Amino acid sequence: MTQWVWLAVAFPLLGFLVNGALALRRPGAKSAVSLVGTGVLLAAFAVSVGVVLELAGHPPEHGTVVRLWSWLPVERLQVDLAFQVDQLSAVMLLVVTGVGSLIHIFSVGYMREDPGYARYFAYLNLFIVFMLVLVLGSSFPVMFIGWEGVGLCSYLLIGFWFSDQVNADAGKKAFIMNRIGDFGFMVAMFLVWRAFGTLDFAQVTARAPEILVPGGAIVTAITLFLFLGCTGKSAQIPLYTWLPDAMAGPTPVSALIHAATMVTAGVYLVARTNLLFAMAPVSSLVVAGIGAVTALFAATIGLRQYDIKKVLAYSTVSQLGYMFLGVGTGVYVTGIFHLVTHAFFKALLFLGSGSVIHAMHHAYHAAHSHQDAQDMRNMGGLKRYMPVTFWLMAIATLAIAGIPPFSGFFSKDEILAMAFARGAEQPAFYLFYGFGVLAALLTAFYMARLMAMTFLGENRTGERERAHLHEAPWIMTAPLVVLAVLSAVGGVINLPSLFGGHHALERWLEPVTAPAAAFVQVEAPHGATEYYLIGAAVLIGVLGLVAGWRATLARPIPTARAAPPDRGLALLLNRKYYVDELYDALFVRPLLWLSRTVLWRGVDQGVVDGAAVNGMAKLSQGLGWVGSRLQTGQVGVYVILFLVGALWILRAVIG
Amino acid sequence: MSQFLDSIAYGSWILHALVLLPLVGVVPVLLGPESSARRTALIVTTLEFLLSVGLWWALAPGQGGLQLVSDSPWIPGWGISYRVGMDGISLVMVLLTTLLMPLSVLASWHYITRRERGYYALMLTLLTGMVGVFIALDLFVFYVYFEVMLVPMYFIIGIWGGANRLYAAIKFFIYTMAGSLLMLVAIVVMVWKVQAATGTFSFGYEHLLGNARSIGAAAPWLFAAFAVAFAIKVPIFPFHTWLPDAHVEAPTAGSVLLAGVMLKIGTYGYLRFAVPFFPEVALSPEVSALMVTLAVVGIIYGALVALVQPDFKKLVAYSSVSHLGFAMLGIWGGSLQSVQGALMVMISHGFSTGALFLLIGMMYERRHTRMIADYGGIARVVPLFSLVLTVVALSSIGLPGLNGFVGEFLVLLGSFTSFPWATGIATTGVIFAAAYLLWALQRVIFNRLDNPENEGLSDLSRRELAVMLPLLLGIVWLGLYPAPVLRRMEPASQRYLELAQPPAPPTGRVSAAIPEGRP
Amino acid sequence: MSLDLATPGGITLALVPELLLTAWSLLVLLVVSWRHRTAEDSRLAGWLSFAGVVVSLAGLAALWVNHAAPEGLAQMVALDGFRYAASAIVLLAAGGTILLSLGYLERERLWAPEYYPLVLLATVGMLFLAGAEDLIVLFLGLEVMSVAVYVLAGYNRTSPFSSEAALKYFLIGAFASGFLLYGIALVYGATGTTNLVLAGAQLAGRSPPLMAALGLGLLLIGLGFKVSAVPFHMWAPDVYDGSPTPVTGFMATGVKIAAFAALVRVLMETFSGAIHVWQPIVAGLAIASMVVGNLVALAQRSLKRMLAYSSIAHAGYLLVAVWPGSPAGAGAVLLYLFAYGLTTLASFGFLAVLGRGGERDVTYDDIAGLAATRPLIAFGLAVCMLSLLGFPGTFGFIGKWYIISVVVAEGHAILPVILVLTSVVSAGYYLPVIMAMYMKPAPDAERYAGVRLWPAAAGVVALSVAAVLLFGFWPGPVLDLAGRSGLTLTQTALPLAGP
Repeated sequence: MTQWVWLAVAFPLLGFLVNGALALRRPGAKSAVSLVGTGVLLAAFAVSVGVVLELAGHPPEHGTVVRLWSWLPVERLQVDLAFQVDQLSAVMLLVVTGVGSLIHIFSVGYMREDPGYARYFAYLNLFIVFMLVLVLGSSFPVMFIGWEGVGLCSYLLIGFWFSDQVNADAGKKAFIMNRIGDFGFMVAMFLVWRAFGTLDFAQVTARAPEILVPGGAIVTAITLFLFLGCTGKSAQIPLYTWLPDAMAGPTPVSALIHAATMVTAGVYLVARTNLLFAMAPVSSLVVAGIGAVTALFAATIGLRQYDIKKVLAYSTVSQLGYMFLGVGTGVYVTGIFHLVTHAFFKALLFLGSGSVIHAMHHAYHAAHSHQDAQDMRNMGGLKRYMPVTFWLMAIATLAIAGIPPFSGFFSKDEILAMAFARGAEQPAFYLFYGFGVLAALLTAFYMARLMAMTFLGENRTGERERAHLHEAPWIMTAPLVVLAVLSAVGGVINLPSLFGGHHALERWLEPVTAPAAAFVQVEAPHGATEYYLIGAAVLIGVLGLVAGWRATLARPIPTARAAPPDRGLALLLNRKYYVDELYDALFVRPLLWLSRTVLWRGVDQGVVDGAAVNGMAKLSQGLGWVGSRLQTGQVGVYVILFLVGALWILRAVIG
Repeated sequence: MSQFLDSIAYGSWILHALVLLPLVGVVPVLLGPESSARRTALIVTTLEFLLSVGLWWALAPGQGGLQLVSDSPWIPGWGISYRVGMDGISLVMVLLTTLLMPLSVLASWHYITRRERGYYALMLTLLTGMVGVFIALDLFVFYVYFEVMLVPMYFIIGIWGGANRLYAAIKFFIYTMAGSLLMLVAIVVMVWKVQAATGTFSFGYEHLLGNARSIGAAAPWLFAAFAVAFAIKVPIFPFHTWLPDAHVEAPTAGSVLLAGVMLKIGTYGYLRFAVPFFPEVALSPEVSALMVTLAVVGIIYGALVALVQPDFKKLVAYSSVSHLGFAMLGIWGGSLQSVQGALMVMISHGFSTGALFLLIGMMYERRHTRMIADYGGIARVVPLFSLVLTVVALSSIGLPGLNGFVGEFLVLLGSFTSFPWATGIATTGVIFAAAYLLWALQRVIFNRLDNPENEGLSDLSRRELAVMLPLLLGIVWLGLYPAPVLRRMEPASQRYLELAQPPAPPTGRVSAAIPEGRP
Repeated sequence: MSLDLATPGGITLALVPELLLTAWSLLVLLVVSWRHRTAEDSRLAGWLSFAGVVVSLAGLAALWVNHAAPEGLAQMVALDGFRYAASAIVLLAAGGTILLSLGYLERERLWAPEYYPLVLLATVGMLFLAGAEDLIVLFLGLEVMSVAVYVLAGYNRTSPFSSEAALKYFLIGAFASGFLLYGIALVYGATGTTNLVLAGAQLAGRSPPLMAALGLGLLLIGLGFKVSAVPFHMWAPDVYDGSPTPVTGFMATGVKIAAFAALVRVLMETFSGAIHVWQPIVAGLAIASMVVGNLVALAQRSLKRMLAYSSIAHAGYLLVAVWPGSPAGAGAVLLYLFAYGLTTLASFGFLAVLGRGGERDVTYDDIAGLAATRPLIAFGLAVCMLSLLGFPGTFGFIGKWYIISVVVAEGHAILPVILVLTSVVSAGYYLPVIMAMYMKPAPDAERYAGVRLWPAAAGVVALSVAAVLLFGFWPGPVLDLAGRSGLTLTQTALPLAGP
């Protein structure tokens, strides 16, 4: 079965080609599109399951590499287009194809009316292709194909409704910011090549111990540049600003790409190269630090957003921060664990918000009113109209807030616990732990606020519109149910012994993380500390939820149009600390000015072309003109010149 | 395949056929009626391409040296003979040329409406010149082809070009001639120096190459002359300002061939002549530092200037400066990866930029404007065109999986060992590339369709699709499975590296793993 | 076959071409003295004269193929390949000029048939100048040539410019001849002989005495004037501009060819010992001519003036070939003279055609869009321009390449570099001609209705253009011939060079 893993990639690719053709030739054939679009995903999921089962059956030493063809053979550089199937990629394989399938199904309902239906599914399938290449790639360059490919699809899907410049801008911004990260990825690859003379993950992992010095300059440089790539792809400080804008895309896209899969690629990359990070304590510290800071920073912004998807977007950034905090501590399984659970509950939240927006949109559309269907101030009391969605999202909320026994609790708690434990040897981690806890509080708060503003209180949608509010069709709710179940019980995959589990995921990933263990050992807290930590986490969660709920429903909420402008801190948060404006003033404008005024008009047209090239021409013509002025036609002049020449010659011959 | 080729003695006549066929084709084009000129030209160029394909098998694989060499006396008393031959490098360049030519003819189908006979005759002469340059193994012959190529292009720009064509044409001509004439003096000097050392007076490539070491003190000057001549062709900053004008004014096909083939003649010149002749000059620390710096400057500078161009064609023109910068970096990168990468850049640039110019030409045929601002949101009207444009743009950006990435990646990877800092800076080029092309892409096919004139645009016609399809296939194929091409070129690149031995101490040519070793 | 030039028979045989041509010119003069009224008369005279040139050429050929050489020392007139080659080129130029004139004179209504005898006499002078082995003969040849050309320059009596040109040319020409004559006298005084080789033998091996050095300088000045080298060039633009176009062509080719032949012979046979003295001067003249000629040509509107300055620039290139003082250099001079002669002849032929009736000068704008209606003329002129530019594929390129080669052979690269750089400048005025013809629209459809190549002229320009292209791609034979002819100069003390 493992040998057939390429089918998991081939099926979506096929879907992309078919849907692409349909998009160009007959965009109307929606049933065919839905059939192909979701069918290939389910097929891919089936393949993945088969592969994973075989892997579970008799796990090979270092996973198996399925070699397709030779890609870049140049002398010692022998890059094959090959897929690596091991415990780590297996996990991602399931998440991507599994969650992917659900979201595809959801999209069938969500995108029904969209004229670009076929194009949408073509893009979505293509995304799965690249995401799987990213996950399965057996070497840096092959992974890079997926890495950039998913960026491309994200670009295309963010700008899916490209007629609106905002969306097109958001797509472009996403791609370029990712490119900044990719720059890091590439430099890291060059460093690896220079140090190892190979780019294969397996060989790098195998030879790292004897080639690299733990904590040495090279390994630190490699890992830091890799992490730069991660900050781009996984929206961490300083390259996070594209993700909130990315919400311009269709909501299922936000769920799939900008919550469940693509944005977690950075975490996956760190886990994939865990040995290198383990050998570079400084880098690990940076990773953890950036993660913790981002978690808190993004959470604060989430407090004050009104667009339901913006809240979830910042929540995603914040949760990604947790994951990096997790891998930063050196206990890579925690990062992956949270990655998985987060994929469940965040996808659920996004899809839920999707059906909310769906309903709102319909309501406004039916009533021909042009209000913001995503602004939570226009919602309220939706529980009455879409109870299923409410309850499902409630589960996800509890999960993300870290309320036991929901999945989020276990993964988040483990990250915080490990960070705390790491603090014993590196005090900085106590600080990160603090950040994490604070972020947890805020998370619970803004989630409660979101739920309250959306579903509770009295409805603010409007008299006429209210009539059109209704629950989403089953094809949209069914995936939600599945996700809800997963969000609820997802924790079991790595249940700690304290709760009668035996760290299944941790053991599963043992073969992958083992080499790193030789360099980083984190003693998980037990006994009293463990209880204290858990208690604190739960307390924080509950506190946040209650506070958020109370604070939101304390006083009536004005609708988006009626609302008074924010002031002070609220404004600062709502405007995201003006970071976008800052970047614009610091980088974008100066660069354009430099290019246009200095380089183009100045150097190119002014100096090189104007002064040098045309100047030369002008000069020659000028001299020629002067020369022709001498041609007066007066014989006298000629004779004088003649004599001058004659004298010069005679002088010369006399010597 | 090779047996068949041997049976018809393919190798013995093909190189002459490739040069003569277009010239022969000129006759029917000129004598035939105006209306059939383009058809004749298409037939001839297609035939040329089909003929050239056989070279892929005719060239013995795994051999770095020059093959299919044939030598016929031309000016016997003066050490000049018509000597031609090729290796893997020339092979891919020739194939690129012969492939782009029929496409250019097709692209001119409706674009060229007046004096067609003259136009297609010139195109065919140009083809002869371009093929000749890549196979010439006698410096006199090379120089003649190198120059003769100018005239057709000069006319193509000057007669069928845009509003400012006269200025562009003469600028292009004089710019290039200035460089090449100095090279002529250098060639003559070199021949005499070698004659003084060996007693044989010959312009033959191998002869000069074999005895280039005997030149001595004059070497730096000679290298400078060669380097400048090729620097103008490439073009390397600051010798590049002819390029934007020439590209913008030239008709589509002209731009395609300028970018697709003629620029490569510069880089080819470095690979074939400038560096192997004078390695101890070319690869001396100072000169390599200079060339690498110029290459990197070209990469960044070209990208930044491209960023702010209001004219789409000019934008692509400046992007060429950026792309060729990668090729230059690779040539000096000093590892097999970098050299192979440089060659891949040369090839893929031919595909991507050629395709971009073709697409811009199609836009221009419809709306008679190249200003980005005049478009916007046309993806809604011309989905197929937009799709193709997007793919091509992405390949030019260097998206992995498409052709552009392979070359850039290999160049950077290979150069990093020798020039980590320069390469690091050069790598930022990938960011700017994304910036200028995606921005342009957005302003052309995305955003709101606000210009009513764009609503009536017609999507790609069959002919236009036929033009783009080969390029698209090449873009994907070279991106996913470049191995055959790489393998074909590897021996030649290997040979180049052997010839281009830097003066001791070696400038870190070996890209071997550098273990830190435990303290 | 070897001739004893001391005997009347020998010298007569040695002078066959000159004598035939002289006799023929008198004959033609006789004919035209009572057939000089109508166009027919003029045409008749023209063809007669052409026949004369052919006859003389035949005589020359006879000498050449038999390798006529002097017994012992050559008296008065040289008998070597260099003379034959130079004379041949002169005669070709003369023949071409005559054929070009046929239609021109008719169109311009210049029906005074003395024109042709004058051309023939001028040619005779050129032949003597090119073949002179004795300073006296050289001077005689120069004067015979000059006087005839003075008259030809002013031939268009109706045009004040023509008369002005003639007068200027005469004044300054006479002035220059004075220098030349004095130079001859000094050389005689220093060496006691006017024979080039004997004088050379006298001067060989020692740095020249003051008198001889001064003589050298004065000779350089006199000949420098005839080849219109800067700074003795000022007359050229005005005279070229004012004279009837075919005459201008004749001056630009014939006069230059003969004068350069004489210059090379004098410098190499008489003053090869003093090479270190004249090399810097020649270099200086060359650089000045190349720079000034090319730069000033940029500023010209009228094609005729442009070609005048370009001919100054080409004099500069030729001086570069003279500079090494080597046989190879002499060969290069011959080859370049041939290439330049062919191209210039054709160019002026086209110009003569384009200058429609009475119009004094043809400007760049006057040929706008020519290619559309007169593709062949445009093509020919374009080829000529590229050849003058020295572009590969044309004879002009071979010439320049040869010059560069012979100079570099001396281990010297500065002159070649200046040569190529100034050539780049020259693209700035040659290309616009092509541009005007091909890339600019004709002001009106009927613009070039009047432009017609009369058959004889068509033949000349067609042959020249064909030759320019042929020798551009297949220069081997002419190169060898030039090289061999260069070697035949009597060498007194010379370093041998060349492949």
